[in-house]
Amino acid sequence: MGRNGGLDMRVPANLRSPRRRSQVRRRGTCPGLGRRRHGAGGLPETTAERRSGCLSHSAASAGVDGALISSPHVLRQSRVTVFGAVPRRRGRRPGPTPWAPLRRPLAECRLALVASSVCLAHDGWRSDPAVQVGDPSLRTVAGDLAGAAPTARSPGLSDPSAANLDRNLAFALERLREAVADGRLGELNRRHLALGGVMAAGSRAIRKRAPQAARWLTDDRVDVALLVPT
Amino acid sequence: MGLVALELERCGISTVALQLLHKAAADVRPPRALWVPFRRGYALGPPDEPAGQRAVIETAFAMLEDSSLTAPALRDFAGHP
Repeated sequence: MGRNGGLDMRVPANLRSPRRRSQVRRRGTCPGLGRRRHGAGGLPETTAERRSGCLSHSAASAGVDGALISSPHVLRQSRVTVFGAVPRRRGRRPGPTPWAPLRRPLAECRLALVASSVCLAHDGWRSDPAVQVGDPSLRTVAGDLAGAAPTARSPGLSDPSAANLDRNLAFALERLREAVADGRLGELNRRHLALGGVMAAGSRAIRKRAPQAARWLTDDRVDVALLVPT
Repeated sequence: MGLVALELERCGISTVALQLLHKAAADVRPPRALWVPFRRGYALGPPDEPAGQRAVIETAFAMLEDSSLTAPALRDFAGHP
């Protein structure tokens, strides 16, 4: 919390001088309109003065919502005289992080893999117009694929050749099958997910598709998800 | 990845997300994040090294089983022997 309680106390340029501020207080001069003078206390006295004079003072005395005021001058004034302070715009504050504890031993859990690469079950991604760099689509990959079957391509800043050197870098199905065979993990889900273009698509596209991913995995009664970026 | 992890956890699915960017993990704050010191595209380490890849996955599993962790948990992968 700052000195002003987290609020932005911006003073108009014509009020920054201490001499000018005291002049305004003493003479009741509207700082924005220069020579116009109000009555005692700096407030407009007559109806004409209210109509043609300083709307910020009128609004302050009448309790009018400052949003109705359209003059740039009055808007500047309203920061100080009507509202006093304007809340500072801040970025989105992260809410509390959800937490789902492991409900059963890992040896009994069903796991789904979620990869952030464009993964297809064939090698034709170069000719597939649906797959482009930054494509934010959500894809399912069948869990019974052979280890070398999914062709992975990572758009954006990643090394696009890495996943094709070893498919397990993007889609670690072989390593997870080994864990199942060793009894470390219960089983793999019948399908896995691939999100494409995380960096290029932006968080808005990901936020839009994440609930669909959650629905799919919830329907499959998945206990655990391993998320692998590329 | 972190945004997807948040959504899955809201639906009751335990998640662990590998992270290549430390700052991204700190910003998005997924429930369980394992930062791996590899370059982009190599989340599980060098290619054709099954032992190293398995070590990353095993560390991720250990985070899932660690009941002392609280959200958001960010752990650094120390490498495999």
